[in-house]
This record gives sequence, C-alpha cells and structure tokens, in this order.
Amino acid sequence: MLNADLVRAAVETYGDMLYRICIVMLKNQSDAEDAVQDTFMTYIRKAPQFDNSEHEKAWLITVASNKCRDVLRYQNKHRTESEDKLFYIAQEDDGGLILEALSMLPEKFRIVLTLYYIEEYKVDEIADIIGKSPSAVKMRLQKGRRLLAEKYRKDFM
Amino acid sequence: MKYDKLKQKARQIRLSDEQKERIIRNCEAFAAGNDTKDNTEFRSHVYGVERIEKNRQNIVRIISSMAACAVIVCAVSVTAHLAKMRGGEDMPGQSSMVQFPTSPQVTTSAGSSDKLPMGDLSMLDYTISCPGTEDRIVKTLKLIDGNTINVRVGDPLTQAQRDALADYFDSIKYEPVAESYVDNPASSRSSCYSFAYLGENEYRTISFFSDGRMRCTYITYETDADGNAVATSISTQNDFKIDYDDMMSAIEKVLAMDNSELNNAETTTAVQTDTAATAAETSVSVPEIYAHDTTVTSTEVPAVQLTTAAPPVNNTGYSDYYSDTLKYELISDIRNGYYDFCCQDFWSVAVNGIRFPDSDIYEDYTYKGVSDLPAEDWNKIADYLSNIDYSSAQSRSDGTMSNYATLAYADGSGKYRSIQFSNDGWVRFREYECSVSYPGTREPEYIIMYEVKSEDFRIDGYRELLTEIGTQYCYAHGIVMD
Repeated sequence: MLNADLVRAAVETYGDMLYRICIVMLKNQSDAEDAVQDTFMTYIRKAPQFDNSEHEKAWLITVASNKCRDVLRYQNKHRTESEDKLFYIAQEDDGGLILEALSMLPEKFRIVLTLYYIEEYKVDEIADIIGKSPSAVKMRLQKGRRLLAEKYRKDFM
Repeated sequence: MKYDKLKQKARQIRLSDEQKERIIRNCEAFAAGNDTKDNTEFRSHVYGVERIEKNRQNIVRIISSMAACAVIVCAVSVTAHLAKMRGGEDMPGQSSMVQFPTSPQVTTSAGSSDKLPMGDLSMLDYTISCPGTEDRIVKTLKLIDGNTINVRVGDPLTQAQRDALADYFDSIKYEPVAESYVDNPASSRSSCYSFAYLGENEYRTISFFSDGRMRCTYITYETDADGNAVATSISTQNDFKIDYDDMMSAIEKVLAMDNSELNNAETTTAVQTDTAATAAETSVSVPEIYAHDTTVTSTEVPAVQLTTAAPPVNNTGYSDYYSDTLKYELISDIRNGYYDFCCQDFWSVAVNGIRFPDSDIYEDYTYKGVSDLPAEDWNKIADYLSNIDYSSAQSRSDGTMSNYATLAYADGSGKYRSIQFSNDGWVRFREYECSVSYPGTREPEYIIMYEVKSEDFRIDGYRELLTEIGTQYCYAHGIVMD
C-alpha cells in the first residue's frame, strides 16, 4: 500500500488528465469521478514500481481506461441509459462540438483519439498503453478520424 | 477537422477542487484501511463468478481448444502452402483448370549470396505484416493445382525504414539451407513479422523461422483473358541461415523508427491459403504445436513480466452460471462490438505469449479478426446467441473443435473470451483468466493463464448467419469461408 502523501501527489499530478480521459469515455461526471477514484485506489493497492513518471502515467491511463470499460459494460448490462451529463463543458463552439462527436464514437476509437489528440501521446506510446500494436493504433486512428469527421458533419454541421 | 480546438476544449475539463479533495479523502481512508470500498461493486456483480465444480479435463483439451479458439495459431503460412502447392504441381487433370499464359516453372533454392536474395528493400516497395496489422487481400493468384494464394495488403514501410532494412539485410552473408529441409512446427515457429512486395507482375515474400532460417518466395504472374491473375513461375524454398534473434531485434528497431506516417496506405502482402484442406490441416496440427513446442524456454521470457505465484491452470465449466450472468454480459459485449470476428482461415498473428504453468509450455496466443462490423451485424450475432437453448451443455468427447468462425475478445486486464463455432454444429464458449504484466510494457506480454472455463453446446443455423456476415467482411479481406 502506498501512503497518503504519495496518493495526494498522484491525484494532484494526474487527476485532471485521468478525469479528462474518463469523462470522454463515460460522458458522465459522476461515473468519471468514480473511475478516477477507483484508478487511484488500484494504484494504492498494487503500489506498482515504475521506471519513470511516464511509465507511471501510462500505467494510470491504462488502469483508468479499463475502469471505464468496466463501467460501460456494467451500464450496458443494466441498460442504464443515463442521460449524457458530460457536456456541461461542451458548448456551442467547434471544440465542444467535436468533443461531443468524439464522445459518440465507439470506445476503441475514442480512447485512441483522446490519447493522440488531447493527451498528445505518440502512436507507439498509445500502443503500449492500450496493449495493441502500433499498426493497430494507426489503423484505429485512421478510421477514428474518418468516423469523427463523419459524425461531426452529420450531427453538428 | 480542428483537432487543436478539440484539444483546447478537452483541456478545460478538470477535476474541481471539491472533487479532488473528495477523491483524496476517500483514497486516504482506503490507504489507511478505514474504507475498503473502492467502487468495485459493479464489477463484482458483473464478474461475480459462481465457481462450479472443477471439470476434469486435461491440459491437452485446454491447449487444443485454446489453440483452435481464437482462430488462432496461424500455422497456415506462406511456406506451408507453397510447399503443399509444390507437391501438387503436376497433379493430373488439374492443369486444364487454369489457362496459364505460359507454363509455370517452379524453381528451388538460390545460391549463396551477399545480398538479400529477394532484392533491394530500399528500391522495392516492400511492406510488412506484423502483430496488429490490419491486413486486407488485394489479389488472388490462381495456381496450377487449382489452389489460390491471397495477396494481402497491410502496413507500409517508410523509405527510411526500408533503407535501414536494406542496410541490415545487405550486411548479412546468406548461406542457403539444404534444399531438403522440411518444416518442423515442433521445433520451429514462424515469426510474426514478414515482408512482401507486390509488383506489377511479381510477388515476393520474406518470412523468418525461429530455428534460424529466412525464407524467400518469388512468384511471377500474368493476367489471363478472364482477368484472373495466374501464376507463371514459382520459386520456393529459398531458405537461408540467419541469426533469428538478431534479425527480429533489427526489425523491431526499424519498426520503432517512425510512427508519424499515419496516412501512407500502401501495400503489404502476405500469403494465405484458401483451401478447406489447408484449414483442416491447421486445426489438426494446432494441438501438436502447442503440446510439443518446448523451444521457448522460461529463460527467454522476461522475468519481470511473469507472475510466478500464479496458480495452476484450472478448468471450470460455466454450467448454470453461464445462462444467467455471463450470457448477458457476453451478448452485451457483442452488441457493443467489443469482439473481433475471426474467419476460420484469417491470417493470425502473435499478440501475446502464454505460459501453461503445469506443463511449463510457452506458446503464442494468436488471433486476428475483423472488429469493425456494423452494429446491425453484431446485433444479428447477439440475437442468434440469445436464442440458443443453453439448458443442456455438453462436452465433446474428444475435447477438440474444428473452427468455422470465432468471436474473440480480450479486455486488456487479463480476461480473454472466445465464442468458437465449429464446422459440425457446436459452439464453445471459453473464458481465460490470465495474469498480465504491467500495462505499458511492450508486447509481446508474457502472461500466465490460470483458469479456463468452457462450455459446449449443440447448435444449428449458425453457418448461414456467419457465412452471410463473413461473406461481406471476410470476403472484403479476401477470406473464403467454406
């Protein structure tokens, strides 16, 4: 178990980034906050050793994205069609609308596009984080970009 | 698309101070042991497993089913097929099936050379198939024996990468392996990497084997009056001795060179057989590969990636559990498109390594499929699976399953699932739980499988459905479902 100080530091350092990813994935503030908290609890419980801060950050993103996937599966199982509360942030400007369009893509494209365009990870880093090959990430980026453009044009233009 | 605005907007999403404090407070309580609640009720509910009494099925069944299930194990290789093809080149009566512009010639083995036998990679637009490559087939070559070879399209290489590869390949002195060499899957595995070049009337491939061989194939073809591409000469079994580990290392270094060129959609090629005979051969040979392949020893596996304390493999039936919780979850996942649809002879690639603790065997866990079916098709499959009578699970007496099509899923946290449809009226649901290395490590991740659950059911009517779907998507990739 990690001590409280380390956890506080981790939340301060990575909390916003994880929350951003979770909210794009889950479209719901409460769920996103829970997923972030759950991620840090896993962090405390496992107390993994990291080579460096990038490794630590990647580990947290991986765990958070898995938590999000769990939530999505749970929601799907229980048919909880929660209204999308995400876009308190999404206003009627281009960035907000694109963000909303992004949140409507299938999960596997959402995470890749989020990591690439918002968190500015490189392809091979994303591959490490999501456990896919760089080639697969490239393909998802390509297809995700196309889907995002289609979604944006169709629903928001 | 204005990605900068997307980033700008997304960066405005932050935890409020109140949220942060709440998380920290809860985490501190958790760390102090005052609160063990970590919001995992939903998972324990979703994943809550009623452990059913252990099924005494032996490791061979686990291994063979595992192998067959995720379309797995692509023992179907360029080489196997080409070797097979060579044997059938003079089959009587079959030459009339394809009208060749000229008589195809089969040549074997090149002489010793200081240069890459298959040409200069810096000049030829070679491309690569590797784990995760989203291959698609661009051409089918007809052969004199009536078989076909599919030419695939996958990942392009950048000029810099090809230059680097050319430098590396040119630095090697190639010594031919004896012509009589026979592939032995028990002692050698093909690399997950292969190179291919598709020219106007020629097709070249380079593949690698773990026993220290590089194999080059060279096929010329022409287009007949009906527009079919037909092979006019085939050069196979150009095997050369290599330092396999060094070769793999060099390839990986080159692949790591450039991740920025995302939009180059050029050709990569690889060969795959289409024949039912080859598919059947694959399903038979898989268990042997798994059962006897001890060429990968524990010393080759990064120790940091192994959980040595993992319990041995158990094999537990789903039984009643399946019909309630898992069924719903599986079907939900299918509807969500979380699965890959794998045609029986889909070219598969290594994505992971698995250690079977009780036999100490290591093997690649491989599957490859189509993940981008439209929701309508996922729903059709889910609807079909929803309507199966799950009240009477049965086990096939021999434990083996042929493979017509498979749905495969890995959730990234150690849970692998597959739904395998056989050729003869069975469906097998399997779930593997594995320990995984830290996320963030580079593949292949070596993982330890510590539990397998499995259940078989007699079904009918699935071939029509899967063929309909497979025809659209696998055919699009040049795959034939027989």
